[in-house]
Amino acid sequence: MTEELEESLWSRMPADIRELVLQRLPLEVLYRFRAVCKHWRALPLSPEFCRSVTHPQSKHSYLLGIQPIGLLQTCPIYNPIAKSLSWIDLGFLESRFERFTFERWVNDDDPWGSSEFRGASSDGGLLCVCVRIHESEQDAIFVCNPLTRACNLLPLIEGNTWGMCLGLSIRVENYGHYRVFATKHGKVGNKFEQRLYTYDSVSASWKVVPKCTRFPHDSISGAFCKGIYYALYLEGSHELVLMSYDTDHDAWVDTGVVVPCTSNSRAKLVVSNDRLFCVSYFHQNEHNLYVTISEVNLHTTMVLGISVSEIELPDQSQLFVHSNWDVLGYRNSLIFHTRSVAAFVFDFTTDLPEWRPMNLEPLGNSRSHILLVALTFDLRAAVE
Amino acid sequence: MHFQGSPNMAEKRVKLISSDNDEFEVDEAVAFESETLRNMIQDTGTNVPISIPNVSSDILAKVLEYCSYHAETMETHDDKPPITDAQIREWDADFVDVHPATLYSLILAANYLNIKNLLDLICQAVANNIRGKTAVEIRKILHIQDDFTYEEEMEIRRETKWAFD
Repeated sequence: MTEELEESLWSRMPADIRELVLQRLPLEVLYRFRAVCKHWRALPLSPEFCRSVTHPQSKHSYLLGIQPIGLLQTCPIYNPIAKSLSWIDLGFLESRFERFTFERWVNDDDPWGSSEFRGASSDGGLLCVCVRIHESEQDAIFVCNPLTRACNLLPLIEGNTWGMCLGLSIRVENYGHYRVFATKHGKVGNKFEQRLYTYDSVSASWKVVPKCTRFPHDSISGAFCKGIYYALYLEGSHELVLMSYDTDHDAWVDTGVVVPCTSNSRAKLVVSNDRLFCVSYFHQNEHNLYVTISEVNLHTTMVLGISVSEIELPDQSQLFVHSNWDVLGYRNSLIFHTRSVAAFVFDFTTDLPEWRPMNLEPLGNSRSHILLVALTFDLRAAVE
Repeated sequence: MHFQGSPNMAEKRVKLISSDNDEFEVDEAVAFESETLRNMIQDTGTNVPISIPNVSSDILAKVLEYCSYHAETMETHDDKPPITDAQIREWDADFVDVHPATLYSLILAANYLNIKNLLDLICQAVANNIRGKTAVEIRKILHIQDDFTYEEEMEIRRETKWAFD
């Protein structure tokens, strides 16, 4: 169709046919057209309309900055490839908070910054966040679809005051069915220990994941890769052992994968484009970080050293010396970022992959308050 | 006017009358591409001509051209290689490469006659045409009133960059 649409003609188009046309637009365009009128603005909130959308998934992947409570109406959404920034309204989460007040940490050295949000994870269009309830010292874990604003407050984990959330991982099995793994840290008698809990949306309940009997200590990091939950355990001082959790038999299985590490480093499991990586780092001094990336081949159980590199930190990033760092899998890259503005990207698709500085300033000059999560949008992702 | 559909003589023929009283005759299989016609034929049989009061002859001819091509793609012939999906897509792309006024009439006809694939095809063509436009341009083209409050307008201004292509 080469000629322009004729105004007079198309303005007479019956509303139901207009919607048939709208349903065939890419999700991003559909969202741009929400600025047309009230009716079009509400369309993505209508389940009936959403069911027939032909491109329910966003073409791009975004970085979402989760703001502290009170600023949730303007959460930044950033596409680092197109360098485009805008905002999404997550204010609907607050309406679900009325029962609680939340604890806000204000220590800038704290790895979670001054936000109520302790953890976030995303998969298949769903966003899972964890907030600390002030009075009871419990965590409220929400699963929501930021587009349809459907939101589910998961039952509180055990009725006690045990533990704070260290890690969160969500996996969408299929539309309407998801699982969440939450690692909590708490005190038993005089000793601190971790517990891992798993939630299944079908049974709508949490259960404690049994401890991995092979290790007396806790896992270092956990992540979903291709539907399986993996956890990393330190063995001796120079080896990390990868275990997988068999949900059907409630048992830990040794994957046979061992990742070498240095004794003073910290490590994290990261998934990027269905590839599983172990990223570890240690500080040489205030200004230099040594980062090691290893890829785990789950078929051959081989570990492939991808890169050992030194990252020179910008001067203003003394925050690095604390544990204020995180690694995100984003498309075919890893994003290493801190609560300050410093961020680096390791792009596997380039000829010579290496850590390059990445500008996250569009997300705010001081990001110490926001929690970063990579996500794609999907209108079909249901929470209940 | 006679419309030549599939040459399979064993098929029953169906007579259709357009809004401007032109008569078309097609194979039953061609008419069956339309859910609406299928229901009518199953109710009244093929002896009585079916009038389609809101589709003009030029548009009905176009619609039947689509239906007969697609009915034909469903058939298998020993002497001819089957039509590939790529060929169908190419044919479809040519089919919708028409004046917007024609496209507009086709969309209404496809909707009335309930020809799902044709409706899909045209809606996609229209969607492709408008996807590059801004919300302001869309309002102008479709004569839609900007009915937002000041607060909503502010909110939208923040969000508009969210989506891009």
